Parts: sequence; structure tokens; C-alpha cells
Amino acid sequence: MAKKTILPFGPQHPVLPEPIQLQLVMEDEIVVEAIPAIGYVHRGLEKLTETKAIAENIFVVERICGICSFMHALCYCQGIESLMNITVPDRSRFLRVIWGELHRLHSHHLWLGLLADAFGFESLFMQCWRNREMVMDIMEMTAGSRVIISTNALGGVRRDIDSDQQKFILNSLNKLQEELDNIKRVFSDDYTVNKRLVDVAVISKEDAHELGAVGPVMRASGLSFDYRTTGYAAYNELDFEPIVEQSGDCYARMMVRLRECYQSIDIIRQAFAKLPEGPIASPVKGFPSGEIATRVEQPRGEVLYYIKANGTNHLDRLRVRTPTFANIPALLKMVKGLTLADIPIAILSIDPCISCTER
Amino acid sequence: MLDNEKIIELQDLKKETLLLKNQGYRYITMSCVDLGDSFDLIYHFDKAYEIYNMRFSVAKGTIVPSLSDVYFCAMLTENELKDLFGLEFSGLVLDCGGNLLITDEVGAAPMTKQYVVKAKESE
Amino acid sequence: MFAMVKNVIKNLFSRPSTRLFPYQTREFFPNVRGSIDNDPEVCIYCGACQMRCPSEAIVVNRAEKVWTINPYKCILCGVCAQICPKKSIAIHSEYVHPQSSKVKKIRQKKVVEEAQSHA
Repeated sequence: MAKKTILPFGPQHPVLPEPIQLQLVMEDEIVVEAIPAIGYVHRGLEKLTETKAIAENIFVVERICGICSFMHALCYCQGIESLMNITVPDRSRFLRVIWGELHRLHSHHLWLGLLADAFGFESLFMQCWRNREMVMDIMEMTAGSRVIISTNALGGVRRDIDSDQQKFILNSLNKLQEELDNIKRVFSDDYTVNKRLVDVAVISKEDAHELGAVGPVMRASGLSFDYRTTGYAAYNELDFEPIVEQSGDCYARMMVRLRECYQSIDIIRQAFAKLPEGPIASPVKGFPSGEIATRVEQPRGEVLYYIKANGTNHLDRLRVRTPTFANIPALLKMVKGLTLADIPIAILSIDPCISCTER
Repeated sequence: MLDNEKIIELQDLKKETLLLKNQGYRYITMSCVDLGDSFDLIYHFDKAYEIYNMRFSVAKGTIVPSLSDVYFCAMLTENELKDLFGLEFSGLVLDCGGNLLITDEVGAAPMTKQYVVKAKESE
Repeated sequence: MFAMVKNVIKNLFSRPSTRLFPYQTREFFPNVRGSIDNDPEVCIYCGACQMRCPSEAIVVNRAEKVWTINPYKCILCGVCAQICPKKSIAIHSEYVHPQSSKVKKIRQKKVVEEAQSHA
């Protein structure tokens, strides 16, 4: 029986883009338990939303997470809209899908780059982020800002995409798909990459379900759950299937995200083909009242907003359950039995977004 | 009132949760609303894209049984609510002692209605 | 092996992916939200922007006809430009350069000046 050592992993670590600490209980090189310590970037945004006006809250919830800001705003707007019985114009529903999928694309590219960096493949990291730049350019052109695009509004969207911009976007996506083919070959077939990812940090189907994992972590374990299939925004008029892998290891989680990049490109093309003409926002009058729990599929998984409104311009309570928060218990389970050298990749494989987690 | 909601009693919480777990429900999260002198606790579950909510009210200061021995993932949410609302849970499998999200300098229960946020003087 | 030779040759003769930044700059797309300015002669100092600003960055003094924005609080959401009744608030695509002190942007009727104030 070896002596147990507690090794603090983080809050500052080269592999972590944001601060989280895992206290790893080690027996020699093997992790036997992990205790999380979060709270380094808690900002109290849920409290802030109680003091701001309802329309202003869109800008607050967008800042919960930089990478999936559009989906946070989308989820919030959908919640308030259904409380107030507002019908969103068809064109803005499709525009929401387009921006949502662009966000998914740039988030997955960012993550693929970080993963390549985590297993020490610098040039692959550079290539992923170079490709991501194409998506960022699209965002800058259509919305006026690269990350926090602020195009959602109650009752619709704030900006339109005209036909010149559509051509630019579709050209960029064709180029992106070619580049993605090059990257995919390396990620899926390269000997060294496979050695680092296959059979590392496996989480079984039952565990993933019981621990409440969401998003790519859940789908990589063979559970078919993608909230987009319920057809919010315009997803009910688009054709796609949830992407599922069976093995539940880091490689499966990587493949889910890689294949979702192709899926997103496909969804954007479909949405442009079906994009109807018409207004982009419907008028909003009055204030909501009542309670609702809405969900949206983010790049990292399902997000839940619980909104309680009281008929005034301020909310009673806004509660956000972000996907990383749900994936942390799964992370604690999957690091058990790993060697220390595999911990960075295991942590990264859930795509941790700590600012999301702590709000 | 949420869709698919069931109002339960505090003592039935464990029983109802075990029932849900056996039916294959996935724990999403729990929400807490400050109602002045009591808290509204809402548990959200999911099965096949359908949300299921359980709700009960507790007076402030009541000790709520923890679900973390049924669903381990409830541990994080319960610790969070302990920090932010000052709720007490009995039987937490991993207790962060009120320091999961906030430090001692913030003070107790910053998300409750009576907590006043102090602005920084430099602003 | 052959694929690698192809890559080597391609990389030898192709241009770098990056820009030589200070000498080559990229054009901003139109409608990029870079910085906010107000035309003091058009502005009627109604205070609608102050009311609607989510980050409370704009302060309008109606009596003295002074419009002040704190660029370090502003989140460039563009709500003020959207709701401005006279369309005197404009969003420019150039980003603000880094500065060594926090300067508030003050726009006053007749007199236009950059005043120094430490926030």
C-alpha cells in the first residue's frame, strides 16, 4: 500500500484556460480521488440580473460565457418570449440558428486547438485556430463584433444578413470544410494522437447518465441526447441527427466535436437555403409574469434557465445551470485510476468553461 | 407554476427522488427562490427531452435532506445553494463548508433578497 | 513520405499565414462596433441613452448640455445608437487604442474637448 499524496492541480496550469483546482489524491502515479475547488471567477451575475431591466439582462447573460454567448442570450430570450407569448418572425428564427451554429463552430475549433496544445501538437493547435479565424471574420462581418455578438433581442434579432454576406459566409464555409478535412485526418488517424486519446478517461453509458453529464461528454458515451432535436428556433425545419460515439473515452469526445463541426456547416447551409424573407423582430410590449424553465443546446451541452418574473421590469430570479457545471461530477469520476500525465487531457476533454460554471 | 410540476412535502423528497431514479430520470439541477421568509426549492429532472419538476417550500433555517447519496451530481448544486442562500443540507457526501463559490469576505448568503451589494468606491 | 515533401515545398514557397502587423493592417468590416461617439451639435440631450445603457456608462447633463461616456464601462452593445431619436450617436469601426490613463469622453455643445478625469 503506497502512501497517499494530495497534489493540487491548478488553479493555474498551462492546460487550463480558466482557473479551476482539482485536489488529486495520488497513490504513486495513480489518481484515486479528485476533489474540486471552484470559485475563482464567481461574479454574481445571477444577482446582477435581479437589478437590471429585462431587456438589459440579455447583455448580462451574454457575458456569462464568452464562447457560447449567443446561446445564453438565445435561451434567455426564448424563455421571456414564451412567458409573454411573443411569436418570433420566421426569418429571425433562422438567423438565430445560423449564428448559433457559427458559435458552435468557433467553440469546437477553439477546443480542438486547445486539445492539440494539451497533447503537445503545436502546429495542429495553430491550424485549428487559423481556421477558427474564418468563423470569427464571419461573426465580425455579420454582427459587428467577434465573440460577444449581441444580436439577440426580445422578439427577434437586431441585425440582418444580406445576400452579399450570405455569399461570403458560404464561401468561407467551403474553405473551412476543406481545411477541416486536413485536420480531421490528423486527429482521427495519427498514431501519436491516438496513443494519447484512445481509452483515456473512459466514462460508461450508465455513469454518464447517472452523473448528469450533458453534451458531447454524454453523446460520446453512447447516449443520444441533443436538445436541438426538440426543434426550438428553426431546428424543427432542418434535417440533422445527434452525433453519437460509443466508446466514451477522450477520443470519442474529440470525434463527437469534430463531426459536429461538419454538422454545423451543413446546418448553416440548410438554413441559408430555407431562409425566408420578412421582418426580423416583432414588437415587444409589457412585462412578463410567471415561471418557466427553458433549455438550449450549447457547444458544451444543455443549458437550463429558470426564470421567475413578476410582471414588472425586473426579474424575481434567474437561475442558470451551465453545461460545464453538469459535467464536473463526470470529470471527477473519469479521472479516477488515471496516471498524472493523462489528467490534463481528461480535464480538457469535458471542454471546461469555468466562467460559465460559476457565473 | 412550471410545466410538468409536482408539489411535494419535505419528508417525501427522498422517496420521490428514488422513484424517479428507478424510472431512469436524469438529474438536471435544482433552483432556489427566496420568498422572503421561506425558500422555494425546485428540482429539475429530465427523461427523453421531457422536463419534470418537483417543488416544495421550506421555512428559512430548515435542514433539507441531501440528494447527493442518490444522485452524486446533486452534491455540487447543493454546495452552491449552501454558499449562495445559506441553506443547510443533511448528509452531503462532499461538504465544501460554504466555500465552494465564495470566500468569507463576501458574507453569508449573498443571493438572498436582504443581502445588499456594496458598490466599489473607486467607481 | 511523399506527402511530407509536398508540404515542405509548399511551405517554402507560400506566403506566411499571418500579417506583418504594424506595416499591414486589415480593413475593418463595415458596421463593426469599435467605438462610440456623439455629435454634440445634433444631440438634444434628452437622456434616452443614459436610461437605456445597460452598463451605465453614459451620463447626460441636460441643463449644461454635456454628454459623457466612460469608455471603460461601455460594452459597445450599440443600444444607445439604436434608440437615439436624433441619430446623433454613431458607432465607428475603429477600435480605441490602449491608453495610459482612464479618460472619459466628454461631448459638450459648442465646445468639444477631451477632459482628463481619473475614474
